[in-house]
Amino acid sequence: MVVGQIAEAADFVVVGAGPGGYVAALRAAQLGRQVTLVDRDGVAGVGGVCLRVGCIPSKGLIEAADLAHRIGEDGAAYGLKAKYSGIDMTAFQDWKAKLVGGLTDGVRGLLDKAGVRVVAGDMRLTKADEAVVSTHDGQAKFLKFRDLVLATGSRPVTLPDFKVNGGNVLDSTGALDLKELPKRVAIIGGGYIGLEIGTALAKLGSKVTIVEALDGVLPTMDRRIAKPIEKRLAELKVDLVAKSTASAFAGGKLIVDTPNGVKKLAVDKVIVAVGRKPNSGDLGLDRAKIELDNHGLIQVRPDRRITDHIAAIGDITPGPALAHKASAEAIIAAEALCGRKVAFQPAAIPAVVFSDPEVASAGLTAAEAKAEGIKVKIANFPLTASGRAKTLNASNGFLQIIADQAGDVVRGVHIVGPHASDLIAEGVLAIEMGATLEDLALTIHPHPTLSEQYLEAAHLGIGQPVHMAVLK
Amino acid sequence: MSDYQFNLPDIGEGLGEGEIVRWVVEQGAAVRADQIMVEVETDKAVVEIPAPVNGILKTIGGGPGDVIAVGKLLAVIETQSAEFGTTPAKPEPAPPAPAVPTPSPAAAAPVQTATVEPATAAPARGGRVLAAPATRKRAVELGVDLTTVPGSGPQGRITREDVDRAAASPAPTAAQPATPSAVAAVPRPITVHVAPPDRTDEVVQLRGLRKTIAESMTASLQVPNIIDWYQADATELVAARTSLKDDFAAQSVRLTYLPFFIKACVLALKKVPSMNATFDMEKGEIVYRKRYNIGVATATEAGLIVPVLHDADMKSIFDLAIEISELAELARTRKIPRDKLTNGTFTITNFGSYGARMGTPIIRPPEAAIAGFGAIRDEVIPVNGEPAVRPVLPICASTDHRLNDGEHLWTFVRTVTELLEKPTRILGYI
Repeated sequence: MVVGQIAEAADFVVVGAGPGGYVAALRAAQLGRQVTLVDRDGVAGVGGVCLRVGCIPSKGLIEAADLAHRIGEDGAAYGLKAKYSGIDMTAFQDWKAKLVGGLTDGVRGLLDKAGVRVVAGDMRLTKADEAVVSTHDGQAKFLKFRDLVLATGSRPVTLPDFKVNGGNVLDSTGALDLKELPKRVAIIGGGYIGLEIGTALAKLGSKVTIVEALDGVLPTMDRRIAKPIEKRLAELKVDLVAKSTASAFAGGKLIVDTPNGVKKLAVDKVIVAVGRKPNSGDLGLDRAKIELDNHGLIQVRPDRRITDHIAAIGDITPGPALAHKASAEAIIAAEALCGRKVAFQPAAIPAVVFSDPEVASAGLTAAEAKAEGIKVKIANFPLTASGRAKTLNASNGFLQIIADQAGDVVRGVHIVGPHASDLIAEGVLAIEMGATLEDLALTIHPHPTLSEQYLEAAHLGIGQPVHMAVLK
Repeated sequence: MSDYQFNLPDIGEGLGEGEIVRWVVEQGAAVRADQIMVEVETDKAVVEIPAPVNGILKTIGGGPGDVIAVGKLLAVIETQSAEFGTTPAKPEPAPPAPAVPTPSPAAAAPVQTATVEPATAAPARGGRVLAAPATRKRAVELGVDLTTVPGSGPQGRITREDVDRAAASPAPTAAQPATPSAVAAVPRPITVHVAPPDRTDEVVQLRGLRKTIAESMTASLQVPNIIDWYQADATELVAARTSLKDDFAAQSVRLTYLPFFIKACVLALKKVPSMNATFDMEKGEIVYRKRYNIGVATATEAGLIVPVLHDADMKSIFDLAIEISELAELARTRKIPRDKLTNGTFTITNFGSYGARMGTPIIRPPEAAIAGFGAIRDEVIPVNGEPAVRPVLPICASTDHRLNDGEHLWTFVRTVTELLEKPTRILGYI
């Protein structure tokens, strides 16, 4: 119990040092504010889940796995004599640690140069303008702040029957920290995290089973997108057990309730990847009269503020829980708290999945257009017609453009195929700029590249495809 | 099923915005076409807006007290048929049929030089306005509502320049009602340094009727006026009213002094035509009005409204008494139709009705004059060289000195006084 503590004056406080929080801290500092960045893990927490145990490390693993697999599969097609004969996970982890260390050092350097003070501890609001930061050694530091940005992110959803123990039951963080490749692994959850990790482990040599309660992988996405992924999973010999739930794991056996009865799967490890939930429960929000909705999210104004001096961004606010959304909101929130008139008003927030093939999606989908009564053109260009894709030995996928029937304005882009995650940026730009199909068709795309799919789809959309026969 | 987007229509001449008073239909409830859906308060009246289509009131553009600009989303109605599905985000052009619209007090101005281009907003495609991210950011910064900005780019795309232009010109959007020249031409009032509101102060946004009054009164500052005060021995007027009162009452008509004042004023205006006129400095014109449309300043809870008795010269005291009662009731309940508020040529303010003795009536541009009547009260006045107690009616009038000199004004005031002192003279002209 801390009585009569004198609160330290803090000009601009940011809680959470992930891709939302550290960006907000940097922007506020740029605008001349004295910034205090509070993170549970202090300086070590800089970069957040994304940089340290999420996006970046997983991409490292996926890249390694893809290389391993391509040597085996595509290498043979190219006539290569090389062979993949296994991975040294310890060496991989060393490489990953250096990679993450280099990036987080970079961010720490930026924060340091900007004069941002980093404080370790858990923050709780005590008043509308005061918070207490409890450090791990039991100390309490009171901060009386002028402005506050909440950017505490999210954490994996846990299942009561599958307690993450760092041994044979892991969450996504643990899965990315494996020191040894498991022989047989079951992944509970066919969302993007489970799919990415499962695909990577399968390519590296594990026998992977994905257990999904709904119809298949990526249950929140269009079936048209999920289909090529499931086809590929079958090729990779990943077992997809859909419409099923895992109920227990004991004695090396995972009990799964399937539509065809209870199955027992012999596995070495279970990875739980059933989604994430917002870290919004322990922030003392009631002290500032801030309420959570039914999903534990904080409703924010267009400029991301909740009150005149408190803003919230990222996974604790409505919208997709994605790093790039948090970073974009961070700039808006920091500027709003610095008195600028701003609003978070993207026309599209892209979503990417590093599956095989990759999936990327931005803007309106055909189904949404239908539901909203918007009349659209759908231009689909199959990957099989791309020369560059052929050289990559890839044919599984497509690029789809959704455009308004009136005016041909691009409203959505959905890609399945190699490098979809990079390709989507052009689609997002087109949506943001209100580009038309003709604008895309008149933009010269370099040959031979995957980006030509935009050109071809646009030509198709305006009824003049060059590299596709038109059905009469 | 599809969504029908219903934007606040232009329900009155020069109307820029309306304040939601009450949703007659609850959100989520079914509504049928032409059913009164919402009440919106505009400059002068509370307007009942009917639903444009059958369906479910899915989304409302604001709750009671929220101000919505013309052309902005008022409601989304989920329609049952696909009939409207093709135009989910089309701005609603048709004004509601039985709307009771609202002029500004100067709307009667015969000279309208305001050159306000109708804003053809950029086409919103599926709810999206065509504008690049940097343009949208600029719009937020400048407080410009992109849905009201005409886009100059291809397919109505809004450019940064369009946004800057919209911010620079007081477009006929939200806060700026597009009022005619008489008001619009007035320079902004001089800035007064007001102490910032204290915690205990109540800050109320200036809008609706109060805003209209404020603008009209500010416009009157442009008028260099002169005022004359006089008084009438009202002995005979009181007797005339008394003798008629019961007769009228038998026909359920309440008789006040106002019809007498109106009749006296009309006769005096005929004698001094330049008092029933309009002065236009810009055009260099004087317009003598040949109709005698007499506005009667009427106090309501929300503020002053001026219903107009058209062609008062052709109406009897009995007719006027009936019409005054009707207009007062419509004004009080804020249901007064627009045509009863416009085309006034002269105004009477009967401040005596609430007991005031004397005032300084303010001319309502573009009218040239106004008359005021105080409360009749017993006073000691000289009668045939002896002090006598008589009911006395204070009379005053104010006119635009650019148009009328002191002599014109005095002739008017004297004529009114003489007619009211000998009200039987009015009979000769009815």
